Amino acid sequence: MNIPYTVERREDTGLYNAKLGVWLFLASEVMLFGALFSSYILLRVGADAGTWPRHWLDYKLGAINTIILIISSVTNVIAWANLKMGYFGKYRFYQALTMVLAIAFLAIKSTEYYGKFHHYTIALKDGRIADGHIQKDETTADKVVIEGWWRTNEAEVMDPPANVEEKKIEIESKEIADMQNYGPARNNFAGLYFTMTGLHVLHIIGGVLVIFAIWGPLNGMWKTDPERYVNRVEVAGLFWSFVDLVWLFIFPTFYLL
Amino acid sequence: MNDSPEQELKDVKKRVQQHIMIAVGLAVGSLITLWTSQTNFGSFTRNVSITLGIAGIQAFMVAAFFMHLLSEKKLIYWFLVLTAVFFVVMIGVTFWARMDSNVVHYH
Repeated sequence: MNIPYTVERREDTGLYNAKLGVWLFLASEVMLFGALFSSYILLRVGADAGTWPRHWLDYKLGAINTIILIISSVTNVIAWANLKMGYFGKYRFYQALTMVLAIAFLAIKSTEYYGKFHHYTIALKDGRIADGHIQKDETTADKVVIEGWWRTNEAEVMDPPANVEEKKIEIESKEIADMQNYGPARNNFAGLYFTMTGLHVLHIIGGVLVIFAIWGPLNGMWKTDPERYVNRVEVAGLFWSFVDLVWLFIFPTFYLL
Repeated sequence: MNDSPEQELKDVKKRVQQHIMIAVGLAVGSLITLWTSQTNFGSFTRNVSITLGIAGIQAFMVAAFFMHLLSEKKLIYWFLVLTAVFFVVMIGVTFWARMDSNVVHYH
């Protein structure tokens, strides 16, 4: 069966079908992320003073990931442009760079997630609060060891003071009243952070898989139907730029404000 | 827009240079966002407005240039206008519901 309008433009829309399709898909994506941002705003506005976490995330890692995604969008567009001019080798090179950058983004995000799952707030029976990263090698059934800080109250956990040096804290297990990590179940902020960045990560993974498929296993189309192949690269690139665009809002919302 | 292959090639070459400039602009924008988030502009609302305003400008640059929205067909604009309307209604209804909540405290 011959699929119509994969290369030539439809008279009524002025577009080839894949481009129309991807824009419709992106419109639905705007609503998906929009609903989540809407939830974020609502929960944040409704939170009591001092209960919404601030400075929980490492803005330097967030900024590095922002730059990585911006560069990956450029390499993606340059790859498409080179293909459009007939330079298949250059396309392959720049698109490989895009994929490497995507993997770098995922690696940094994994490090951040790992840190959050190993970061605990420990409430002691005498009312003291310790907060920091658990030292797995030194922690036993009888004692918990963290690299972190003593906090004077819950408000200080929500908005930790800057430039306070970390120290090793050893706590007897029998002294602990409660301990909770910075995972998604911690509070609304953590739940939204993991939901939204997790959904974004799924988009990165999906995007890089599509880019890889077109770049590698499906690149035979470049010889049989080059125009259609260029269009495939273009629509995948549109999706990739959208993923970048969403991150440009996630970064300031969660890391900076 | 001229669709002849020669013109298209010229457009593509021009776009590559443009994209590199835009990327530099986006990176600078991110650094400015970092700076604004560390600066006190008088109130939290003002800080949020400025930071998200810069993010909005960056998002526009990505959509306009990386996604070629500026040179796109009218139909795409209509889709996006429709999306924006639904988006505003969604957020508007959510906030309306919140403001409309009538909580009564009994003592």
